[in-house]
Amino acid sequence: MNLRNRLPSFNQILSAYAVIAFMLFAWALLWFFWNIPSWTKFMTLGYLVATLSYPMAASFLESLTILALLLIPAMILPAAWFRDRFAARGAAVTLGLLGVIMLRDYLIVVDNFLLKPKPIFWLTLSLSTALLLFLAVKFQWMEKALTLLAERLTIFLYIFVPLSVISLLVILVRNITL
Amino acid sequence: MNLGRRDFLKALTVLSAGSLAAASLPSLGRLRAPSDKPNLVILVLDALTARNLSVYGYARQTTPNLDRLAARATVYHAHYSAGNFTTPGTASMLTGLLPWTHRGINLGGLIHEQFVDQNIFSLLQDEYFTAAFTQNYYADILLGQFRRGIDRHIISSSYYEQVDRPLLGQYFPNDPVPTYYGLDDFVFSGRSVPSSPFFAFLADLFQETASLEDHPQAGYPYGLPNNFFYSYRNDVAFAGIQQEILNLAQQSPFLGYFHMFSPHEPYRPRQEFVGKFPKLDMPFKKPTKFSTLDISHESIQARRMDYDEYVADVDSEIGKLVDGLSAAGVMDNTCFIITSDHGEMFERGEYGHITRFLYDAVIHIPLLVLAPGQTARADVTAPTSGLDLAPTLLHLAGKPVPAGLGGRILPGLGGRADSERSIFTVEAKENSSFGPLIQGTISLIQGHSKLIHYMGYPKKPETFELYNLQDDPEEMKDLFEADTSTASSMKEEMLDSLADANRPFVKNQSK
Repeated sequence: MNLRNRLPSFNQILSAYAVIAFMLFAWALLWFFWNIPSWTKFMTLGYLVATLSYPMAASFLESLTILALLLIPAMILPAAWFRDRFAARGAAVTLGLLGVIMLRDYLIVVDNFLLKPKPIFWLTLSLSTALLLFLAVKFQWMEKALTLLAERLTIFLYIFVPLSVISLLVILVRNITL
Repeated sequence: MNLGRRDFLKALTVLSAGSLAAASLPSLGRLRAPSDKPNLVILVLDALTARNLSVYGYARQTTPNLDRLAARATVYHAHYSAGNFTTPGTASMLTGLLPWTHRGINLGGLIHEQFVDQNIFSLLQDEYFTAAFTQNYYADILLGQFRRGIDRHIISSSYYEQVDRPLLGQYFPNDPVPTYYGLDDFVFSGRSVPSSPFFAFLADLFQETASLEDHPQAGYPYGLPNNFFYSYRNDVAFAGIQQEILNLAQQSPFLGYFHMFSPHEPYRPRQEFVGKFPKLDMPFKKPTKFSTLDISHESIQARRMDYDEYVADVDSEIGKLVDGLSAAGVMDNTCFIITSDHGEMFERGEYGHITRFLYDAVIHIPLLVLAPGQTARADVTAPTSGLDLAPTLLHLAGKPVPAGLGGRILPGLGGRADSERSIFTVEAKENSSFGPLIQGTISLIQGHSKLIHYMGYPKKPETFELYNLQDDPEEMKDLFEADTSTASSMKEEMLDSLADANRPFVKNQSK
């Protein structure tokens, strides 16, 4: 069996990856800028750039990890279930999973512990992901919307991928011992 | 083999620590010829206020071991930190500069680049093997800045019991500051929003923080001590640094800096110290003017009790450490310094040290020096500063003191007692490190007089307070209006010194 044949098309993978990358990079950048006022009190521009490079590299690795986790069911499950509509259904799973995790993290910071109890969190996570996936499977308009969203977000990869490469280079250079 | 998650994490850390140790072997191998210079050990107990220690006359017997060690030590009775939290207090101790000069004034802040190589490690490194360890991550950031002068930087999580989150900064020893802020305190952040939600989520799945951190453990009824990154046991941590010192003694002379997190909050004494002290109505109910927390007197007294019990726990570990080193003969050629980076306050509607206040409780810190061969107690009552440690260590090492250092050689160790010298403490965490100090609190101690200046706080007037520490050690009676001659001369000196310190930054601003 050729493993490559089990993979979704490159464009489908790219679209799903764009959703993952957009959510993760936007989230990391948002909180980085949220921290900037306190960091600029004592950090020089050089330190700020170096500090940004680590979460950017982490977001890059994180996005690849999530993509890999989504590709596993795409390869295992019947093609019609997940692989053939990878962009829409991958986007639905990503929005459900990451959305709930991000919501919980944000609520904790603003002293709202609604999603902190594990049973409530897991229930919300499962239900949200399942609901989005169900909508994407059941309704064509939802699938189209998710596909459209994923395709539009690929434009941001022109920012996030170079940012990741630069960040990895910065980390490499700063940690080389000559 | 049944390997639990905890065992797995421990094994992972041991392996990583081992690989880091292997990486530092070349520096460890920098063996030195036997020397007649004394070894220098600085033991810093974080947030240890002199006010709550029986060795300084506190009503509760919190420090029987320090009391015992004081019988063969020089005890400094009016020793003051240069800041009221870790960054300025530690940076000043290690550089001999005031916070308004080195500019490590912010929470977790950095000192300015031009002072990075002016620290006790770099200044002694040519003749001493230098080693440093701290459980306090803000202090570890500073040690990261000083890394060129440190031959052996022992990783902060060396003696942990349970990590709260992955500590990845240790894998990037060449880039300590960005990895602290960019990785350890951001990607998996437990204090604010993690920048990597999925990685943080996975990390949460693979750890059991709650079971160790907040719940009773064997011997620890309030849970294990915790430094916001990992839980630890004081007996294990102190035994660990004892072993480090014994190893360092093989390459004499050495300078060892050991900065323990305890008795910093959360106060978590072992069972045997809980309920050790009777309730006391102490010291006085003080005015809560300027307090930002306004915690009740009763609640503060309960915190004070927890702190005192924890101090007693830490004191027992200090006793064991010094006894162990004495038994091994290390103390025979070691100048052993016990101090703190700042104090801790339980008064005026606040507890802790993240405060705008500079009352004695939060800046009066212990200083005991056990010199080689010393058999009798010596007491120094003249005011001294945390800045004095750097020039004193240089003097003890037989090295000249550079002109730029702000401190003086400590009396009793080669310096002269000066009861009228000026001792400054600076609290300026809300200011930019790159601009003039316009908001904060400054204190100036001269003899028995203490002037405190609050400046630039929103909706608060510019205020001065003056106290006579001899007649009024609890700082209850403000003499600023009554003793106008002392007040005006001290005010003038303080404002002149502040203007001098601000001058380079005012110029920068006007450019």
